[in-house]
Amino acid sequence: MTGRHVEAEVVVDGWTCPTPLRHHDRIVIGHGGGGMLSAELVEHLFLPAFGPAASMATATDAHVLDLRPSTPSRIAFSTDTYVVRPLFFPGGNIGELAVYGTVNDLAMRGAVPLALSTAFVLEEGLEIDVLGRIATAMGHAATRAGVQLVTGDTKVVEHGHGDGVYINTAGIGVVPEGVDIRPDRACAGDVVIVSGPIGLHGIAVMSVREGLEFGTELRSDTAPLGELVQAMLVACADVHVLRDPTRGGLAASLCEIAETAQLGIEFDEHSVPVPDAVRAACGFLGLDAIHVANEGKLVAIVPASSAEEVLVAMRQMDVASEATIIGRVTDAHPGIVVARTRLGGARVVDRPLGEQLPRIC
Amino acid sequence: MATVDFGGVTKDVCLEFTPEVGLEDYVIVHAGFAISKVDEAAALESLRLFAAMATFAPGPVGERDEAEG
Amino acid sequence: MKYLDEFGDPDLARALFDQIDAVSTRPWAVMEVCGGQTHSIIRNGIDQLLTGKVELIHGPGCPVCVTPLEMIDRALVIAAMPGVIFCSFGDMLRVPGSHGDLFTVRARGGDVRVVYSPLDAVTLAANNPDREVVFFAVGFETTAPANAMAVHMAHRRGLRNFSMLVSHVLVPPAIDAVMSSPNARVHGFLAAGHVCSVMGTAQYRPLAERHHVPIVVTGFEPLDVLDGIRRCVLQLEAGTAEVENAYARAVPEAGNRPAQEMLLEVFELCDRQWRGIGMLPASGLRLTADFADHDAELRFDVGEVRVAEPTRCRAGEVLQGQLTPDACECFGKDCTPRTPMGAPMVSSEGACAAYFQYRRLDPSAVRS
Repeated sequence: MTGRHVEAEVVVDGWTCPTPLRHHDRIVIGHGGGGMLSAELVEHLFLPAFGPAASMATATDAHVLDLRPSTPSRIAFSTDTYVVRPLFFPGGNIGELAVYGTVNDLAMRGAVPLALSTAFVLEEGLEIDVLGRIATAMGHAATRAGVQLVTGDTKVVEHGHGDGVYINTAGIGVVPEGVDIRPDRACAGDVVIVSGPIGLHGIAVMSVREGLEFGTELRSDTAPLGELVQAMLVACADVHVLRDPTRGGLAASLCEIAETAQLGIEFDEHSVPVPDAVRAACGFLGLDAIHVANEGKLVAIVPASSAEEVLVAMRQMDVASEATIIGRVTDAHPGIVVARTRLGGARVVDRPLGEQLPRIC
Repeated sequence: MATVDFGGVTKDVCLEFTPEVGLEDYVIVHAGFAISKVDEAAALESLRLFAAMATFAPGPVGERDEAEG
Repeated sequence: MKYLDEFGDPDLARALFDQIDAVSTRPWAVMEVCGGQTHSIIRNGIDQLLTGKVELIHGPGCPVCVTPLEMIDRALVIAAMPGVIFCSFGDMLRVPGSHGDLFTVRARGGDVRVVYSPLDAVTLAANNPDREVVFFAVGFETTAPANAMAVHMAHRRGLRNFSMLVSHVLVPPAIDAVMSSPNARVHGFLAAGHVCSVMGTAQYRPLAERHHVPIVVTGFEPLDVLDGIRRCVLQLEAGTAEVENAYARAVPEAGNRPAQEMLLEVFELCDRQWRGIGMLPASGLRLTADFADHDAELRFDVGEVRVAEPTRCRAGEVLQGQLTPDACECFGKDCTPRTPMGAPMVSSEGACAAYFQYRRLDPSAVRS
């Protein structure tokens, strides 16, 4: 009932190595050594698996991105490291998380994501097949998100020191002229929008760890949000704040925004979309859905006058078809987030204390 | 052990303490064990009572409802 | 989920609030002795929405809050021992012992694991024959049958590497202690619904008589809690002191016989220290001699456990309903959920943590 490892149904094209790696079905220390084995891993595993997403990659110390004839004045830059356990879960795997996660961080500043670096720490003994499937997923994800995987690194640590795979991705993107999205821009009277149902990613991962079964498929919502953000900016050039509620969930994002902007946020609990299965799982696990991680959702704070147009634009896209207004920004109780309960009472919402759901992303 | 549906999530639960429970019954579960079978008639009676309260204005002080259970 | 959602209906709740308001002619103090009810009250904002006439006092119903400091310290020593897999429900991990908590032990290399059922710990023992698996059995009568069954199963299966650190507590002695205190200001009680699903309602009659207090067996959903309060207030207005069952759908009068039998087989009554309150006779459960092999207190020599409770912590007075958390000098200053001095600030069902949620906010400012 606990820690039962389940190979989830992941829709990733079967990866077959075009040229077999030299006698290895598992990662060995040499693969991280910078020598022939490392080069082989790049050439015969990573590059073929990444596919068209790595078409620009070069075997140089650093990759130079030539942005001419554009002369962007602002570059967005973000990094994140992914240590999720298990590596594969319903709806995705660590590879997708690693690509979409960083792409989305860039998108939350309104940037058009351009390129990612991918750095791997592999544990000696990791099956090559597993790595291949992860890399293939990354290639697909990058192509779907419209980014290139241009540079990377691989290190190998001894067996027992690594949990299989850790991935770091760093990404850059260009912030278009006139776009200024950050928490301080929130204003009293602004409307708070969430792009869809919350809690899916965290629960999908927990479900594997805790041996919970779902009658209906409950899958991680991991997805790229760059296109969604660009569509929102077309509808309203003056989006004030964007945040992707990953670790700590919706609550953490709203709390961070409220504290930074020194404004209050109020939302109605019953207007926050929570799938039944997430609600049930949260009840069982003793969690609050607003504290559970999401990997394909965003919170947007926009001027009230633009709310309708933004919603319409969002709902056109699959990834935000259930976008909805959940609350507003207020002058009252600066720095504090308040939820109105179904009964009409009010409760202060905090970030979850400590790590309720470790190794979620 | 039996499979219990918590509203879209299913989990195995031990029924040692509730041998009278059968398929489609509702149960109260605690720490992996069913501790009580839900008395559906009593549940509906409670809801009927609440609905009646919502329909009529609050009664005079001292009026008691018949005790339940 | 059927039989859950309907009991959260806002319109029906409104009607119950109105009923409570209409029937109260003077201020009443009602105490719930159940962490789950405390959590539900806070979660749904019920005590804010009650008019000033009914005061809800959060009693010592949070098992995490009342687990004695010596027991926590014992747990920390055992969890730190090499070869031990220490299993616990999640809420116990942040409870401060004399020096650190279970999280600290884990950070230093102890194998501390969160489980949702004691059966998970039994499975761990079966799968790890070379490790000592210890389960921290904390809780009221609701969890005791599950823990009893776990030990019973482990014993039957010959799992010698499975043991439990038992710190079970019982509700009736807590009610007795609250009412026996010279500073008692509670007029009526909500009894814990699921505790009564197991134990039935009979044991509350002597308490109701002895202290002349109404005791209403109450559930957890908003309508259940409100109905429990309503019935309690009606009795108070009428001057009666009876045991009433407001949670009939989940509480048979006689409770759960198979569960009670399992308790009788595996556990026996004992005196227990309640953190912040003191020693209450016959207020706890411990393993019987037949199951001594699985008693972690006997198996592990923890040496002398010298407890060091922060002297300024007034958790005991809070737990007995004599002090509201916000009246404590440490509240919100030295003592916060991030830096808790006592257990009621740690647990999501603890009174101090519950109050902390409202501290920075005047609820009337957001009431529409």
